[in-house]
Formats: sequence, structure tokens, C-alpha cells
Amino acid sequence: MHSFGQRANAIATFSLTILAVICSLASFTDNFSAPSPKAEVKVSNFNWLQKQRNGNDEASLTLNISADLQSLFTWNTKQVFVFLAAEYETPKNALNQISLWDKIISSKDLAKFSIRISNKYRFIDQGSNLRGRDYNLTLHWHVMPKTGKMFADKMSMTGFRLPEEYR
Amino acid sequence: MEKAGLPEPITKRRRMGWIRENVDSIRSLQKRQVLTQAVSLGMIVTSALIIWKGLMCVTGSESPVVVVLSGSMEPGFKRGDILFLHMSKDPIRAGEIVVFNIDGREIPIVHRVIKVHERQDTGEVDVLTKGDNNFGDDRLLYAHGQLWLQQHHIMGRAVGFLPYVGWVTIIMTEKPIIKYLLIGVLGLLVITSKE
Amino acid sequence: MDWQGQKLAEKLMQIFLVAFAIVAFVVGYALGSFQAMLLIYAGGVLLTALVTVPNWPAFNRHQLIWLDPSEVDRHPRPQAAASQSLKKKTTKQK
Repeated sequence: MHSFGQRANAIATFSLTILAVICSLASFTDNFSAPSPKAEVKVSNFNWLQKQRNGNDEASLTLNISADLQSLFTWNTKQVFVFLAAEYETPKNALNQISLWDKIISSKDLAKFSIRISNKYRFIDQGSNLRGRDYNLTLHWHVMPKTGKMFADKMSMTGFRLPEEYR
Repeated sequence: MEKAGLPEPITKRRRMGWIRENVDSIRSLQKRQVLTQAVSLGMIVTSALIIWKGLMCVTGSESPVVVVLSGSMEPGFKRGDILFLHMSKDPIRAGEIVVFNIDGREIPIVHRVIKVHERQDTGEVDVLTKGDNNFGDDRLLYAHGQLWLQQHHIMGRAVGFLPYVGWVTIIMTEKPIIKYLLIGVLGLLVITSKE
Repeated sequence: MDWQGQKLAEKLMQIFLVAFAIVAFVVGYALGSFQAMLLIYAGGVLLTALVTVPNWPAFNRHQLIWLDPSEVDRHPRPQAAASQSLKKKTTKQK
């Protein structure tokens, strides 16, 4: 501590250590929040189901998504990434997850929304297994903190079925 | 700052002996100093290596910490953020942020999984990724003709992150002069410091 | 900066930084604002640096008073003992 440089060094080291400590403490407080998000997804219109030239089935649908994810936001939340995936099983694949729509929510005010939209990403199967297929629509959310650990959760809605014939 | 001055030796006959002794003591001191400095430098390097390898063991990923280099995941990850990776046995699922290597590309990419197809019999996965801030999916980034990522392309999934810390690395890789300057200054400090 | 001053400066630095960290964390949590926490802490670090890094006169109130050379002249020591004590001092001082 006898020279200017040494004192500057000491203060830099010590202050950065404490900064790391308070940031991890802030990240730790996230454990105490118990979020209770609500969401509802409906298929408002089935647009079409077709076979592509390479033999893969492709479907198109219009979705009604309404959600209230405000309880996910804490003081350490930078953003919430929310997406809707169609999940189904085929004879070929044990699990298919196809993201249909996603959204980045950057503030609490925007976390309550209701939209009607046709699928943003293409709903294509690996093969031609979509006719008459049962599928889930699952809303996933990934919470990104300002610093620290990320966490994710989801909400599944079952009982959707694709039409039996191409149209 | 304030160094205690030696009491001046007073007589001339004493001065000569004192100088010789002092020179001797400085000589022996320097040898020891150089040695201790070499040892402490070695300690720094080896402990850094230990931490790195230990992290590799714990996380099971071959590079447990990566720096985000592009803005394709904004606003979640900005350029210069540091990501901690974890490679667990759990299968990859949509929505996870993975770090993957494309054949023929040196720099790994950090993007989000949007489609997963897991085989019934073998359990192998086909994965499609996309950057949150990009318009289209990553097929354009993949090797020519490659449609899906397989398990072996994936280095790990991101579990946590620290903002801004990675800027040091970015600056040093993009402006090598600063790196050499920094190494030079640090080296000088190590050589001149007496503690 | 003298010995007492160094001790004081180090103590002040630690107390200030920890206190500011606690205040910053509590205020940030209460306001639900991460940014407030960082700003308060940054301000605290700046203030602490201002207080403890420069060599303020307050840290120099306990100067060591060295023996005047003429004192040594008046009480010369035996040769061997003198050189030993000198050696000790040189190593200590580095």
C-alpha cells in the first residue's frame, strides 16, 4: 500500500471481487421468485397439408396465442425468449420438435400479449408422416438474466390432430 | 513512496567495505529474486491450466468457456459476453442454446435450436439452429449441402453467462499490438516489482 | 504515505467498498433495478478511489523520525556489529 500504483491495484482487485459477489447474489435472488405464467394456444385455422417434391410433408396453420408471462420478470431479467413448438412422434423419429413461432420479450410491459399469426417457421416433417398425426403444441420460455444462470420452462397443450388427407 | 533512507556511513575506510558488501548482497538477492519470480510466474501459468482443465472435467465440454463474437443472438448475448458451457448426457431439445462447430469453419457458433428430430431406433438427433437476431435459419452457415447438425458437431450448451468480460479477448485477438503491449508491460512489472 | 497512513487507507478502502456494495444491493433490490445497483456501486468505487488512492496529507501524520547522522557519529559502534546491522537493513529495505 506504499505507492500510488499499489493502492490503485488493491482497490481495482477488491472492487471487482465485490462486484462479482453482488452480481452472483443478485442472480441468487432469482431463486426466490415463484413465477406463475399463463398461456393459451389455439389453432384458429388449418391452411394446408402438402407433400413436397422431395417426399416430405409440410403443413401450414394459423395460431392464436395469448399469454401472460409477466411473473417471469424479476429485477435480474434481461429478456424472455418464448417460442411455440409442435411436438409429435412418428414411426421414424421418437421425437420431433418443430419451432413454429418465437418472440423475444424485452420488458415486463410486453410480456402480456395476444396474437393471431400463421406459422413463422416451416412445419416440415422428415418423411411423409403428417397425415392424421396427433401433435402437441408446447409453449417454451427461456429466461435470460442480466447475469448468472439461465432457466427455462414450458407448458404443453395436447389434443391437436392433423387432417387425414392432403389439402 | 517514502523510502527510509539509509543512515549515511560516515568514515571512508568503512565506506569501501560497505559498498562491497552491499553489492554482494544485491547480487545474491537478484539471483533469488529472479528465481522466485520465475517460480511465481510458473505458479500463475500452471494454476490457470489447472482451472481450465478442471472446468473441462466438470462440464464435460472441450472448451467450457467461450466468448460471443457476433451479434446474432442479440439482445440475449451481446458481443463480448462470456458463456459457460455444459455438456451433459441429456438429449438436445428445441430452445436450448448450443455451441457448435461446422466442418471447415474454425470459429464455433452460438445459436438456438429450433428443430429437433430424434431417431426412434438409434437415438441420433438431427438439429436445426437459428440465431435469435437472424432472419433465417442456419442452413446457409452450414457446410455446403448440410441440412442438419448431428450430435458430434455440438460442443456444449450454454448454461450461464457473464456480460462484457470477453471484450478483453476480443480486443486482444483483433488488435495484436495491444496484446504485445500488455504482455510487455506486465513482464516489465513482474521484473521490476520487488514483492 | 507513512505506516499508519497505509493501514488507515487499507481499512478505509475495505469498509467503504463493502458498505457501498451492501447499500447498492439493497437499493437495487428494493427498486427492482439492476442498473441502480451498478450505478451506486460504481459511484462508491470512484469515491473510495478518490479517498484512498491519492497521498492525502491525512495519511502522513505519523512520519518516522530517523536518527540524525551526527548521532551515529557521536556513538560509533564496533565494526562487525555495524556492518551486520547495515546488511539487515539493506535486505529489509529491498
